[in-house]
Amino acid sequence: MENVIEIKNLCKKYSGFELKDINLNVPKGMIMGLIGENGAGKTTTIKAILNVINSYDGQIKVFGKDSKIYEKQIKEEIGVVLDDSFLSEYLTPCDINKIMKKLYKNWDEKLYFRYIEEFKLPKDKISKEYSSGMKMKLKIATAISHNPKLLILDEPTAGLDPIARNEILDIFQDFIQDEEHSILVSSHITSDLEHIADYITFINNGEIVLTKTRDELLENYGIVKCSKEEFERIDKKDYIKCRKNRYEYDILVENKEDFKIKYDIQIIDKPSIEDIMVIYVKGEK
Amino acid sequence: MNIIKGLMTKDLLQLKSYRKSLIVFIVLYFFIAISQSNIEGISAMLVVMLTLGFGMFSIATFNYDESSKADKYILTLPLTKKEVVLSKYAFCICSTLIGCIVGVILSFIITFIITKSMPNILDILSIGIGAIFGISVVEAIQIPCIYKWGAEKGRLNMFILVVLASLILGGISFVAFDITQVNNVISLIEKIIPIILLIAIFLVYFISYKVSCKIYSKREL
Repeated sequence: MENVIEIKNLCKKYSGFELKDINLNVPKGMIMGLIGENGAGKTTTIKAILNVINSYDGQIKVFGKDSKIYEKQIKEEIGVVLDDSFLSEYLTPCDINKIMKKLYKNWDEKLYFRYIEEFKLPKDKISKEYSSGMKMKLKIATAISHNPKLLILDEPTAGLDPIARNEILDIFQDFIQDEEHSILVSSHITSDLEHIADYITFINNGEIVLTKTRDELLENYGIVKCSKEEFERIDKKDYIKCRKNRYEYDILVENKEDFKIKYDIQIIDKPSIEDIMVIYVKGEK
Repeated sequence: MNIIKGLMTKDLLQLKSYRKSLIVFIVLYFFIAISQSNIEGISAMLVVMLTLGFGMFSIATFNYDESSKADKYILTLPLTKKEVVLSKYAFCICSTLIGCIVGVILSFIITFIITKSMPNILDILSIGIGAIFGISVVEAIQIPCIYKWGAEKGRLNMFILVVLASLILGGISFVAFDITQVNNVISLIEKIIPIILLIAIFLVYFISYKVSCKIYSKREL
């Protein structure tokens, strides 16, 4: 399978935080969800892909090209949405069009205004007067109006109400319909990714803990709830992590069917991505 | 070139909200000027104030970028850090020049209204070049400071730097130079002062641009 992003051995050190040996591939035509708690390294990884951070070790290829050497060429083909950064809020969608048509070679003015209309954004109103959902839609319209092949989204649904989140997820799903398009999206709202992501990568403490397809995670992984006695007869090799609750143990297992057969346990819960994330972070082995 | 134009368009559109303040500023100085009796003083004041005013307005674009944390987003666009810095200098220089031109035009109009004759163009231009030099020194110190410490902290640090530099230079000149000798030198080179200032403006911006590029290339966003 062709990859639109290939990250090899990415390392970046800050005081108090380190991104350790990140290896990540984003396959073409897919949505890759990057999950992890705040400060886990999701944004730093995205910033490295976009060359926004100064220096790092390792290699990043986008569309098969070195991201440092072909930076400008690559960025012509990428649309970016950042949760905490955009153009000034004193600009209107019309102003943004005037700016972007000079910055992108492939800027499609008609497409941009079609999105603005579709998303019901007032053209001549400064974005400071928009709601959070409208501001995010403006960022998305701006990110996809030069026909990018890849969207990189950092926390695009953070701080939005469920309706706005749903609308925005629909936009991403429309974008991905054409199998030429791909998305890398970071979020700590894991339920959003459960709806749209084909792959999930989980970063914890600057390290990649797992990369799996969403179906693999949701279908194969399981959470066993058991007593202390039951827990003590389980081999450490057979579970990923366990979390001790007040009355029982929550055990995260990678293959629930194998576990069922080996330990003759019939009820194993299907975990959400959030459950998996919480046990990984809070649990122990 | 399109990238620089695009970034300058962004800065110009961001300053839209300053339009009214700018018009009030020009009208105010226009009326202050025509209420004065010394016609040479009026022309000089208009040129100097408008050049300085427009130059300072352009620096406000850094505040807009900082408040929306636009720097990070801008670097995700197909451009380089050098182009971002270059566009800022181009914008500041252009707005300073426009301020100077507006000042020169207004001073011509006012002189004509009051005296029914034209002012000496060379005198007005010399004043304009002097004003541009003044604001270029301020911008040349302020822009690298903003890139280093951000718009708010940069302004404070620039103020500290300017005060320190003035104290040091003032101290040296007080100890080392005789003021009458300095006046003699100035009267000798009086005719070529505008040319010296033009060269100095170019050098000041050039050095400042290089310093800003270096600071910005190392800055973590």
